[in-house]
Amino acid sequence: MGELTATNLFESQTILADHKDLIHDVAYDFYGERMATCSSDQYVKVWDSDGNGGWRLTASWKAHHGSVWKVTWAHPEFGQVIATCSFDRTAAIWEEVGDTAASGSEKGLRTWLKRSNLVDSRTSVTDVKFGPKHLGLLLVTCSADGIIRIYEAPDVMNLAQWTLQHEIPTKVSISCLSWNPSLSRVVHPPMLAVGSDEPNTTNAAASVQGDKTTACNGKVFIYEYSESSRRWTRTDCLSSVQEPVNDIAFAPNLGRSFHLLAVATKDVRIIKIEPIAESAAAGNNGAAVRFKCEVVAAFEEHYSCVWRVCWNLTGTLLASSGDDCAVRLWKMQYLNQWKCVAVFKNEPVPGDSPPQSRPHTTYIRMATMANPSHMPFH
Amino acid sequence: MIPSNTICVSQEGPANALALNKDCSQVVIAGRNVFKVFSIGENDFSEVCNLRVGKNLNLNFSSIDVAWSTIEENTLATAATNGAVVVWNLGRSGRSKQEHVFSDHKRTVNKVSFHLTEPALLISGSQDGMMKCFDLRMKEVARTFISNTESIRDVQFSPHQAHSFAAVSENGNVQLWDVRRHERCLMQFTAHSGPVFACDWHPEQPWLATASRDKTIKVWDIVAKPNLEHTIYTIASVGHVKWRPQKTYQVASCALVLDCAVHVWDVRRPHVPLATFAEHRDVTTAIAWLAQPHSFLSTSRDCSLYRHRFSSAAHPVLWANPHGVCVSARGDVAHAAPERPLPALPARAARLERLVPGLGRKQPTAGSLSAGAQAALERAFPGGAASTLLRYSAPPHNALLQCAAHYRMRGAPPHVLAEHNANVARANNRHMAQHVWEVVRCEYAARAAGRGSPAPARSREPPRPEPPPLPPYTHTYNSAVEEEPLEEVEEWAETQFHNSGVLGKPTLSIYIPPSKPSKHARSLDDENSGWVSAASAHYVDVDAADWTLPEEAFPLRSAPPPPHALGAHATPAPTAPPHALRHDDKDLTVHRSSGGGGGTSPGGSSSPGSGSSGSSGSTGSNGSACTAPPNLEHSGYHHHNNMHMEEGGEGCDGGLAIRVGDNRSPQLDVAPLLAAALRQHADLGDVQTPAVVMLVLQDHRSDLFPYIEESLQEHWLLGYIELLQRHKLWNIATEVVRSAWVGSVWAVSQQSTSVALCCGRCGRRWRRAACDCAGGGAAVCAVCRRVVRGLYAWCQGCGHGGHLAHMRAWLHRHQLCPAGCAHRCQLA
Repeated sequence: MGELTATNLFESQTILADHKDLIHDVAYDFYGERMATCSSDQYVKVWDSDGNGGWRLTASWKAHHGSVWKVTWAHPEFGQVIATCSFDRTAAIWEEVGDTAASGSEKGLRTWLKRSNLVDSRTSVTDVKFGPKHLGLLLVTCSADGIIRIYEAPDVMNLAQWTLQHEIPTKVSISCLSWNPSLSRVVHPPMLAVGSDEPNTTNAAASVQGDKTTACNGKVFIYEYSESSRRWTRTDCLSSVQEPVNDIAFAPNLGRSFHLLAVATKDVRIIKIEPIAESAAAGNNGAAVRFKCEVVAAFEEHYSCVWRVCWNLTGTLLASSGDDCAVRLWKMQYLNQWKCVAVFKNEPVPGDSPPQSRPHTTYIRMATMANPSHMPFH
Repeated sequence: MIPSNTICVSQEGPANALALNKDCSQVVIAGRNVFKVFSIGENDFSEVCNLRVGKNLNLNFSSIDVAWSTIEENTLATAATNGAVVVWNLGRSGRSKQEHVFSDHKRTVNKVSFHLTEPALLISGSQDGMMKCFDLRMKEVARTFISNTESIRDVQFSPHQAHSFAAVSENGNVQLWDVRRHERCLMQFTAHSGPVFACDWHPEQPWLATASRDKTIKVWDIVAKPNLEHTIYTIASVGHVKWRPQKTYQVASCALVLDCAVHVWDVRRPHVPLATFAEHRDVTTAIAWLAQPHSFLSTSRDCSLYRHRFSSAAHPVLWANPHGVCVSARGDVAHAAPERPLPALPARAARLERLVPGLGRKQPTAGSLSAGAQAALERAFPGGAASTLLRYSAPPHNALLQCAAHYRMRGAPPHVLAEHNANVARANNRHMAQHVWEVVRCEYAARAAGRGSPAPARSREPPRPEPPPLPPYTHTYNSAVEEEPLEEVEEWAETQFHNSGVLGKPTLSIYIPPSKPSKHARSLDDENSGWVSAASAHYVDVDAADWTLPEEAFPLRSAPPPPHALGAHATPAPTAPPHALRHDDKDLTVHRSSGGGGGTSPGGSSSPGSGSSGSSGSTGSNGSACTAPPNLEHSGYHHHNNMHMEEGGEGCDGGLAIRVGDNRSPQLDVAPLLAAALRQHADLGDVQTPAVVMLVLQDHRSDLFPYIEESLQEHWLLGYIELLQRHKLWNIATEVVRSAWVGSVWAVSQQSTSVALCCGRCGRRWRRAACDCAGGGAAVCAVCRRVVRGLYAWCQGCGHGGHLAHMRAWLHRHQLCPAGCAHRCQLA
């Protein structure tokens, strides 16, 4: 099964983002044709694909009064909507309005209006995510003081109105969260995973702290919504993750019987969360569903610290980036082994030579897989 | 909870201001209800003097601001809320230290400031918009400066020009004055769009920092004309600003509202604070550096006075996520990475050590970095503000999309569709999927042949009492275990050839006994020990439940798999080298595995004798159960069998035909195997195969229902639809929706869908069959006078029309409109 070499080349291309400070998040829209970036310079920029591999800046605006930590797209069914969250303690909902610039001078720059500003948090809002489409227009935010807030837009046509549905205190600083994107309404109740970047206090003198009341030392918590009690409850705490968590991502679940959760902590971790059958039935009438959690992979190739993890569409490929400034792609191979299939190294500019101003293109080859014919995708 | 190198003392009330004496050994704090002097010890503050004493504590004691003379050891000045400027002399004997009260201002005095070199000069800025220069020796107002603004918020003498001072006002203006000239200011410019609350002269550069309610700190170069050098963006109105000594580019600020922390900024990186001190629980009201850059004092509305060490700073930048990664639906990877990463290891390693107090208000606080790490961070900080945005576009070819585009989901019997889809899968190198299709094709081709038509859902006929004599079963592998010598393979191949089907060519067939779905997953793990029991269990089950007519075996044999499947894969097997064979072997195991124990039986059945020996019993259960295990061990395949389920890997190059039914043994029930295979595919992230297989099976899909719960079916369909939608394959997605059998999926296309019709005559929208407008409803043909259903052609000029054919015919012969309107109609 000779893999065509051409199909394994990743083409790398620099986009001149022109943000004035660090870019904290990049998000593709549902189709992968638009891209939003957010930065500490308080700006959000939206880029549109021209269909030929080029990306054009179509909007750029000052979104917040502090670093913008995360940006995320809503399902296109709700319009062209993004949400941002910031160090300035707010989260905001933005909607693109019309094609304002038909005529030449403005050259297709589009306008994004702030539809709503969610000001409930009293500390930095560290993450924001839209819920799965089938739950309606839901938004969840989490903040550094450890409160998860779930908002709903009761009228999807009116993005100015968001009601705070649930406030879940966690008592630890929350850095990231992820919805379980499972499309199955029946079997999988709405589920959230949150990660904490709370430092471990044990190694630091250990003097003062009357330790946290949390029974579990883990940094990743699973919350589930129970239809009967109408509440979100913590149903699990992954004790296998003990280090502060920087990012967390559920793999898209298009029909699996289990969930895959990627965790960016000291290493890249992939955790398989399998609802246990007997309790799944009981779960519907309010009993806590227990999971079987299993660490299926842990990679330390990023050295000290992993910052981000992201899955592809089918949940078969995981991208991670860390302090080594490289993106690594992980893929499940034969016999459920996860392997690194590609490393994209972004060489730091040495010294203070000027940053390259010209977009350049390089090619990176994906590693070949063992037994490619045994995997559905390759 | 307080960092060990931070000291703190609480007072009775919140302090509005603090001031240090000239050698920074003592501090005075002043507020509405507090006015005290502390001496700053190594580890604590000790109260030196409480100035809020005396019989009548009038408003002169309630201070907005306090200043300590930079020259005179004992001279203090406060700005009182009642407009008084009070001078205090700590050297006075007795309890009252009050020296003099200037009651010249009409309104609250916001700021007092001593001249840096002239000990007797004191300047004040007031809410009444005036500044007054007081001569302490004369005890009188030397000059009054009228700003022509509503109120002055801050005044400060310049360290660079002895006689000039800056004043900032609530209308956003900055004024520079010469203290000797009160007529007019030297310079005036608008610095902010909102009120300016504070200013601070840089100790070395000719820079003035201004802090405003517009949430910015601006740094002005004031030489000839004011030039905006830097703008710092903060999250809240900035109340105070103080340059950090000996650090040219660093400035500390605190907010007037919302943000309780003190931030230290590097002006070259205007969006992210270099350091944050979050000890206060209410907004910070004043800050003052202790002459050197390593510590400063702050007071807050929470009634505390802190001395912060810079080494205990939190560095938000260490907590900020410097990377962004996203994978698009197309497989593109976008990566935003810092162009110059911060000095990584020591800083990062140490960053997670300490918590900061402030329950429920935790700031992302790092705690102590080592001095070296902190210095490195400070150096690298201003340059670390750039990110590179890189995009890695995925390889263009996407088998998934090709398959989605070319798969057929309906319009033909399942085996026809399956054959087509198998070819599509193979063309895209998706061998696992292809294999599933082959299985589907074989199974349903057999059924179709057996029924002579697309088979009904399932046959449940009892076994025939007298099975016709059949040639022995063939079960052949075109593969061998890796370790096995080639000879054996050849021998096998010969056997296979010998035993091959009616057509006399090698037939690939696997005998897979039915099994319960629950056993699939586990039976394989049991290795050999479980074989016998598992096998017999299957047979018993089968006897009790599903039997298909043995005679179906006949049609199958007479209609072997098409040559492209068989010929291409079966024949090369004997001659292929072992390593190539091994590949196929694994593929085969996939199918066998789902059958559990059944996989073993082929080995036994490959020899003519074994089939007949096992067939003696009418049920066949005993015979096959007994004979199978030995055959298995003999064949040496069993250990592969147990792998099969775990791998779930499926698909091989070899065409795989399933021969169904034995004259004595029960009909092969492919459904549980297929269900297991589909589940496996879904678990591996390929939802396309299960969804499309289920669609293709059409009526037969109910075979699988006992093994796949409906919620999972729905999940697969929804998953596939989402996959297609993400790739904008709307037509295919719609087709899936239309072909779906699950109600909730089928309903997807009906959600928020309404059909509106528009009347061609009056333009109104209507929902009924005909519009009630003047034309009387449906369009009438102008020629035949009947209602036109379907295509209506009309003249754009006069609007009359009718059946296309009629209009054509009419206009062929006439030029004028058939309706008689005398228009010369034209039909394009």
